[in-house]
Amino acid sequence: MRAFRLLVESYMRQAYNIAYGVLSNHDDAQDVAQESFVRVFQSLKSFRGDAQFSTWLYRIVMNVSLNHVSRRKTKFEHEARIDDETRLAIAADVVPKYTQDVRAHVERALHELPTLQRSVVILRHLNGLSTKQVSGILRCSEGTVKTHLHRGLKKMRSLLGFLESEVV
Amino acid sequence: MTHRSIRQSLYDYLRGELPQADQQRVAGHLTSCESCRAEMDELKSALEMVELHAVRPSDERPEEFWKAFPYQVEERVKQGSDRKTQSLPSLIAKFIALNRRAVIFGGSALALGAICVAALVIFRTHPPENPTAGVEQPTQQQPSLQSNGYVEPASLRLHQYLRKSKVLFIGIANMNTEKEGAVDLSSERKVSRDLIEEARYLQSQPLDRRSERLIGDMEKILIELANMKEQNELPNVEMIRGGIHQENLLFKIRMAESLYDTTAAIQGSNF
Repeated sequence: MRAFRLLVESYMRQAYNIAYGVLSNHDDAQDVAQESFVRVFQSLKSFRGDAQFSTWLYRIVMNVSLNHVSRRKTKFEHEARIDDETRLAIAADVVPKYTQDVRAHVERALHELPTLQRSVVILRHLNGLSTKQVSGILRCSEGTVKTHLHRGLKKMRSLLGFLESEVV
Repeated sequence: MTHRSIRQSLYDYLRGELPQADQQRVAGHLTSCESCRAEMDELKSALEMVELHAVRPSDERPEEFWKAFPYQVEERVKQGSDRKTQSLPSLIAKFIALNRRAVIFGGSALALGAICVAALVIFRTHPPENPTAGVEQPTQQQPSLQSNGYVEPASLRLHQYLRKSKVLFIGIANMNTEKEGAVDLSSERKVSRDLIEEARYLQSQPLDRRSERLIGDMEKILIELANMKEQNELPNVEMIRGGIHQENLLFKIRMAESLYDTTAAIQGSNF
């Protein structure tokens, strides 16, 4: 169990950030990240070691996050939760109010993207994983990752165009 | 290097992550190619916009949160093994005891739903004579519409399109995700492609806004599905499923179908 705790400590922040990218909610990100580690623990024996541990873990985080989204059922519910009190309360001490507002817009724009584009932007751009690692997590080619990243970021820019005049 | 490969490399180029030789090759291409340069400018401004406000969510949690995190995971691992030993009836009994109000409300809602379904079934026993719901009245530019006022091909095709899409999405939503290995998506891909073609036709018809929006929402998922590999891995299927749930497509299709049927039945009974 001690070895497992070390694994959790090494990867918990990154797993949390990936889950947050999909869910835009701190409580849900905590729940999903912890649930992912539970699944990892339960299936450690089946880990064949033919991929990096982090690739395997982040794939589980993505799957659990997407399942969590599907359980929320409606987009309306999701959008309402982005603005929930928990997020604002947690962010209040760390992030200035203006940045919080803009971040909410960025998160909304992210959630307007098709699932694959969104996943690529979250993993590659927001979490800084390499193209190769993202292609391993999503089980698609590196070319697909690059194409979806490019398209996703361009679409986000067009969705956030109205902020341009406010950005200094 | 082709324009396509240059554009694929622009993200790495802007972040200085390309090997030195490739970095120089892309820079050389950009000096001579105006369209790729415009593409780079657009991507650069997108990066600035998204990055400017990027705060790592984990940094918003205090250090105490991260100290407790591994212990909470361990606790859940233990609870997980406890939970497996609980039987389903005892869990249901526990749920009812904790959510008495919700259960009563849910029961009432179910009864109301059953009454609505019965009413719909009664309406449907009268065959629709002018099923125009979902499609606006024909214009003179619609040669495909029949002139006897009885059947509108676009309306019928919309109805069939919704039904086929629903069957496809239900199939994917119910796909078994417990098994290991690749999933064969060849038939789903083919159906998606047919549906995309059908959507193109329907979008050229004078549809009402609700149907237009629904077709647009479904099209994104259908395109993703049509572009997937035939033998695919479960995470990719999960993404499609996530998209279907997130867009709430099955509910929207059912709503469109029931509104279609009700309107058609009411119009039919007026004759």
